[in-house]
This record gives sequence, structure tokens and C-alpha cells, in this order.
Amino acid sequence: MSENYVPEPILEVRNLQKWFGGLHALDDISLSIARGESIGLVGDNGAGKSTLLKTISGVHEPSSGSIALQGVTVSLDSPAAARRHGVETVYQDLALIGRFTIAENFFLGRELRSFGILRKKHMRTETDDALARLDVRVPFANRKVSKMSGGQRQAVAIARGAYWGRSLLLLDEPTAALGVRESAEVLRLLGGLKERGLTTILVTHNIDHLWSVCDRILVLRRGRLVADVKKSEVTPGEVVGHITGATEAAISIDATHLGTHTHRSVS
Amino acid sequence: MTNHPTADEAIAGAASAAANGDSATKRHVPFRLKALAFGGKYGTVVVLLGMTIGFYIAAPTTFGSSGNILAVLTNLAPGAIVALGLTLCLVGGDFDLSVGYQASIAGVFSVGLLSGLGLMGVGGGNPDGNPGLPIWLTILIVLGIGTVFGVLNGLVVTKLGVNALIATLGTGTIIFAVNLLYGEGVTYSVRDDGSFLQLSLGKLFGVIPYPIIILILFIAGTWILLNMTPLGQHIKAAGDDPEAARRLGIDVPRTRISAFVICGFCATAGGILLAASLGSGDANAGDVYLLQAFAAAFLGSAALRDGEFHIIGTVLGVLTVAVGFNGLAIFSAPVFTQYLFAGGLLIVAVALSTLSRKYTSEL
Repeated sequence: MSENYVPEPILEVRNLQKWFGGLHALDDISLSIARGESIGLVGDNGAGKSTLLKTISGVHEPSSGSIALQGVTVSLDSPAAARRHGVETVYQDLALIGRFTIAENFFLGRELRSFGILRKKHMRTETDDALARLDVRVPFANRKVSKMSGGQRQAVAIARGAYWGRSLLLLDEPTAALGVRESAEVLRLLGGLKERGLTTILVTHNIDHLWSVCDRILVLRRGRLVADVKKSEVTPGEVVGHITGATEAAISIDATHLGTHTHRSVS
Repeated sequence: MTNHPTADEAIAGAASAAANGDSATKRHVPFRLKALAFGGKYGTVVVLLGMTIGFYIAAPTTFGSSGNILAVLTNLAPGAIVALGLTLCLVGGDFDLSVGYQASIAGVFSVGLLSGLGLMGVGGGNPDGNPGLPIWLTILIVLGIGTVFGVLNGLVVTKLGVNALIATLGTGTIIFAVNLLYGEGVTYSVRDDGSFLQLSLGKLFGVIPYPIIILILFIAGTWILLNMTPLGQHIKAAGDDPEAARRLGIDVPRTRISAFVICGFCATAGGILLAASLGSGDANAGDVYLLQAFAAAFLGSAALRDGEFHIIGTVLGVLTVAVGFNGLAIFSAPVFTQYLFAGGLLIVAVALSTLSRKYTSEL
């Protein structure tokens, strides 16, 4: 990456360690993400993807190491703290309140008010504008979320994350529970976020989805960052090799030498 | 309905979703399902309107007299206020079984403080000749005590993690113990300048009894709180999905404590109003409000909404039971029929609502 222009990093993770009792969930993770990058985070089950995501979103506190946002080291000790720093998360179960409308879900916990009274109309137009800007196709803006389809709910959760995630938007397997058409719609939406310059980290199991939206791919295996590559420089097969460990076995890479900088994949 | 890759298809999809979800009745839906859906949502309202119109036609001079209507509303006011507070707790996903005991102790405390028993009650010394506290201070202290009860309930539920049903059963029983400690279970008639009774007997502009005005204020207050403020949104969210609410940055324990506080405030307010109408403080006077308030709130949850507790629903629940009681009394029906009516209505209304949601969701 050194030969390219590298913009100011929006997220910098340094020597992150996370232990759950005797389990070494994250082993010396260091990475740097620039504004506007679309990152794909992949790895097998138990590789540490969710743990890394949850550490950045304030759910887990790191055992050691540090996280910096826009050059400032921050303590993300709660989801609320992460949100204050502009880090939004789209959780697998979406964290939507079923009895609320889209607008109510958008502004829950951050309600617009004047003299203690909700500014419902303002929140509704603000939500409509945000949905239109992101080209989210949800038929009923005033409908309860519990009456929407899975794909629509996913779109609402992503739109909410994009609306508030001024620094970083983390997405935990947004297509996992969706059918083919709904997945396509979500991928279209994620592509739109990239065009709008949002910085995103997408956790996914689906190599096709990874390829269709991400520019750069991080591979975790057994808590370690075993690859950090540009999509243009690898093939899907090579990424799968990193995930399963086949690539490392073949060329006997010492994974502990993989630090902040890009590991060029074998070619 | 799924999202579609092109705008035209999306519009077509939206249209078919509208036909599918919003007006399911346009398809070939059996009549009994339509009736069930209607009965589930509007059953309580139909019963209330039907009874009101029926009783009015059958007995225009007794049931329909302005005196009777005002009396019904005046009598239901204290219990309705208790039910309004309970509704907020239920919306937040918590039960409060202590509301009846809170109402009772509020009556005993108000009469005691007004009559010169002081804060220590009967055991605190000879009350005879002691000047009582002024009415405004009495009300302020008793409402303050209700607030403290609410905080205690909330702390036991959220910090000690005791299930709300059990926690408030426990705190309610302890509140009854304090009630007995204070007043020794004796019923005291109020001894003041007569202003306490005016709280119940007085009329605004000589027309509308104060309890009705107070009830309207409480309805407006709880409605605004639940539907127009961030706290109301947080209470709804905490009741709907506490984990999602937490991850969206809502302080769920604090929200639940707030709901208990509002509930305690309303329960003691209802107790004060009840004591004012009785002119005495009775250790058990407010206990009936526990079941009445729960019945009204659950009856209300079956009205207009899909099984959600809401303020207007609770008001409808209180009104329906009160109008039924009044009508049956006017036609000299035996007392047991009133309770048969109230119990039967609750079961039928909630069952209809549950069934209609179960079957109409499959349409």
C-alpha cells in the first residue's frame, strides 16, 4: 500500500488483544482503515470476526491494545460511547423495536425534541430524506417495523447506521438471513454507501457478497489477522485459502509477522 | 414482500404489499375471520357504546341524567388514576402488584397527617389536640412517599434482579405492614377544616366535580408522557425489546425505574382522592384497585391496538366496567351480576383480541 496515496486513517487498531478466560480470541491485531474504504472482514466460525467487530462497537473491552478514531485514542467501553464517536453497528438481529415505525427506530435514544416534547414531524421528514438519499425502497414509511419483511428490516437497520455512522459503519452479516433477491437489494444498498464515501466494515461468510461490495479484505484465523489484501490483487480462491489456512500451509507464512501493513497474497 | 431490484418492480411490489397486508379484507376472507378481526380490535368499544346507548334509551331519566353521569365519572376517578399509572409500568414490561397497597397507605397517611397524627402515626404520641398539616403539604408528602415507593420497586426489580411480579408482591406486603404500623389498622375519620372533603365534593364553576378534572389532568399527563416524550419512547422500547433498547444506548434500568415512579405517584394520588371521597383513612380501602387497575389495563390492551397497553385503552377499560356496573345497579340486578359482567368481559375481550391477532396475521 505504501506506493499508493494513503488518506488519513479513520480507524487505527494497535496491538489489540482479547482474552475470554483462557481463550485467546484476538491475538495482536493491528490495522489501519482510511476514510471511504469498504472493508470485508472474513474468517471461519470462531476466527474472531465478531469479537473484533464488538470490540470496535463498544460491546467488548479489549484486554490490551488501543483503538484510535481519526487519530485520537478513544475508550469504547459501551455501545453508547462508540455511538458518540460516530461508530454505528448493524447487528445480526438488527436491534429494531417492532412496535415502532422507521422514524421512531431511526431516532430511538437520540430523539429530536423541543422543551422535552418529541418533534415527531421533524424526525419523520428527516428519516424520509435519509431513506431517499440512500435510495432505500421501503414501501411504508409509517408502518410498524414488525409488519415488514426481513429484507426491509435489514434495509432500515442499514439506513439507520448510515445516517448516524459519520466515522464508521460496522455490519455483522447483513445478508445471512436473507433470500437471493433480498440479499441483492442489501448489496445494492451497500454499494450506494460506498459511493457516498462511507467507511464500512462488512463481516460476511459469502465470498460473492464480499467481492461485490468490498475493496479490501481482512482475513482472520484463530484470532490472528492472516491477510490484509486489496481485492484487485487476489482471487476468491486465494481468500478462501487464507480463511482455511491452506495458503499459509503452502508457503509457510509466519503469521506473527503480519502487522499493520498489507500482506501481499501469494500469486 | 421482498424488495425489488428495479424501481418499477418496487412500486409494483409496494402496491401488492398494500393489497396484501394493509387491506387483507379485499381478498376472499371468510366472514367469521373478518368478524373476529373486528371484534378483537373494537369489541370493547362496541360493548361500551352499546351499553351506553342501550341504558340511555331504557332509562333516560336515571342512567342518562347528568347527575348520574357525573357521579359515575366521579366514582371511577380514583381507580382510573391508579390504572393509568399501572399502564405505564405495563408498557415498560413490568407488573406492579403493589398499587393497591400504595393507594391504601396513601389514604391512611393523608388522613393521619391532616388530622394531626404526624409522620409517626398512632404510636408517635397522643394525636388529640395536635394541629394537622395543611392540605397542600399533606398531598405533597404523600405523593412524595408514592415516588419513593416507585424508586424502591424499581431498584428491587432492576438492581436486585427480582422478577417484578414477585418483587412488587413483596414490597406491597411490606407497604401494608407500614400501613398497619402507622395506623394500627383502625379507620380514622378526617379531622380538618373540611377542605379535604372538598377535594372530592367540590365542583369547578359549580358544575364539574374536582375528581373528574383531576382525572382528565392525569389522562392528559400520562398520555403526553407516553406518546410525546423521549421517556415514553424509551419505556415502550424497554417493554418491546430490552436488549435492542440497551444496544441502542438506552439506559433500560433507569427507564424501568421511572415507570415504577410514575406508577407509584399515580397509585398514591388515587389513594388520596379515594380517602377524600370517603372522608376517612381505611387500611384496606385501596386494595381493590389492584385487581380493578389490572383488569382495566388488560381490557384496554385488547381495545383498538394489537394487544399493546395504551392510555386510551385503559380509559376505555375503566369506563366500560363502570358503565356496566352502573347500568346493572340501576336496573336492580343482583350485585353478583356486576362482577360476573366484569370478569366475563375481561376474558372475552382479551380472548377475542388474541384470537383475532392469531388468525388475521395469517391472512
